[in-house]
Amino acid sequence: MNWIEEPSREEKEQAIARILALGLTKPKSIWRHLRDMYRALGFRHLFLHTAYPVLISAALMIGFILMIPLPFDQYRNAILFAAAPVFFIFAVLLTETAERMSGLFDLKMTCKYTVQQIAAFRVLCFSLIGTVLCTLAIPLSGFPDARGSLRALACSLCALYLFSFVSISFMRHFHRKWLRPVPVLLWLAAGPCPIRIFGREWELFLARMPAAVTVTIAAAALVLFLREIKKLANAQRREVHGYAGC
Amino acid sequence: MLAVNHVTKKYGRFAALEDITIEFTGGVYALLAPNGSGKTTLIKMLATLLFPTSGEILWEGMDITRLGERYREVIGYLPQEFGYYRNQTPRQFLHYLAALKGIDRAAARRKVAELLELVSLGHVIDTKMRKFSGGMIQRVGIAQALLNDPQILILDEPTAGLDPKERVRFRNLISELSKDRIVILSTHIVSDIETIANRVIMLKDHRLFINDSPAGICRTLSGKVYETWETDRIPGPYFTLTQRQENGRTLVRFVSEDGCPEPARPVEPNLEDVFLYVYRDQVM
Repeated sequence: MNWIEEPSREEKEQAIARILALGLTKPKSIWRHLRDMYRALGFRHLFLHTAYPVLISAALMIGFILMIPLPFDQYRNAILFAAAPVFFIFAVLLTETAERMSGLFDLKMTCKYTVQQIAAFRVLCFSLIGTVLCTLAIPLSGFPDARGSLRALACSLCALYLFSFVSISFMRHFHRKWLRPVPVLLWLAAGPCPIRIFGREWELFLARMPAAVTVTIAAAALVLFLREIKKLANAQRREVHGYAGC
Repeated sequence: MLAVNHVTKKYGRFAALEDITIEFTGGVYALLAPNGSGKTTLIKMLATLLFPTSGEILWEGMDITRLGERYREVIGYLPQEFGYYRNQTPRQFLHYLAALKGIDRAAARRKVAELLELVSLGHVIDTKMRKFSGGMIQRVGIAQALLNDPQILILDEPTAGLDPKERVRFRNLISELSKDRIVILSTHIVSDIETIANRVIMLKDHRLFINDSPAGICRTLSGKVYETWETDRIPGPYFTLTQRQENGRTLVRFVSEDGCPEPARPVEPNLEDVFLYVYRDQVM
């Protein structure tokens, strides 16, 4: 008679681990998911019908810098701080509005790549474009030294990432239609209003702010913003209420 | 199998659906109810656009919310109000949706041409959709719902805007498609489903009223439906279903719970009779 030897404890554990490895697939990381989505859809489909919102947002940002009725050389930091999030805030708001008005919102939410996942990709791209615009604005602002330029860059990136985090977080948590322009109101309150209220004092406060502080705030806001993007793209149980917030 | 288990959907204190339990295995399931009875809420829950307040929806034994992308890959959905990009051609539009559905480009190219032929839009494949009639747009909608060869096809009021000829074509298409999948369609138009539905699901007062074959549903009124030319001679209470003009006279079809009143004659009930009788408070 042939006897089959009972497996050892180690063999049993190895077999269990092998079965579990086959059965339990590791969930995709957010970056892998966004990369796969980019490969499947390409820029053309990811940004379909977003040309006008993007152009309008860029024009609003440039227009704000050029049209603000203040001497630029005396209010460089304050104007750059206020202008930094303009592109991002309006691009997100206008693309959301365009998406909701297309009549395809429900349908797209039933596809493999949903509107909210596409929104996460777009929001990330808008923040990158915002970063590029902020960086390009610095050499054009005529700062006398490199230190002033770096301080202004850190200051404007701080504003951009803070507003990116606040607006996406707000849109993710609050779904009512009438609350959607709130990020714009917040920007008005924290960007142009202090210039109007405090004038030169606000400019001097920003100009004297240590770069280490602004860089730290910018880095923290960036991390929080990326976490919001991750939550947005991974959200499984979200009803159809809003675009970024859906 | 798709199973809806004791599903309730509430908006604040208002219950749009209460304790719904249905199993979908294969064939055409028609959700038949008047407007405002919760059809679209149920359809949207099946399409993962809304989630139950309580209860669960299971696909092959797993909660569809947890399945997420894996569930969305097996469904095809045509919403009640189907939007489209006016400046796109059906080919461009379907390629876009195919990409969103994760279908690779080579397969999409083949599938798009094949589906547009199936819905008889092959001749306008490269014409901008702004020139299309409501019926043509609806056919584009049906084509997009089939792009991923779905195991569950969910159609919300799919015949809205179709002319009588297109309705017949649509019925034939649905009948053909239901051979190897679950087709769930919601409608308040009885003629859309009476010849193609394997099961008819009726909702009343936001609850499941009946889930049966069309013949089974018709049997609920068996022996209670009559026709007569002379309604003024009918004694007792009755409920008028339909009236038809013939040679200057009016043929009245009605329901009576008290047996066959003279001079009426009994007739076989149809689905429309049941619909009108069940929803008599809402329809009439």
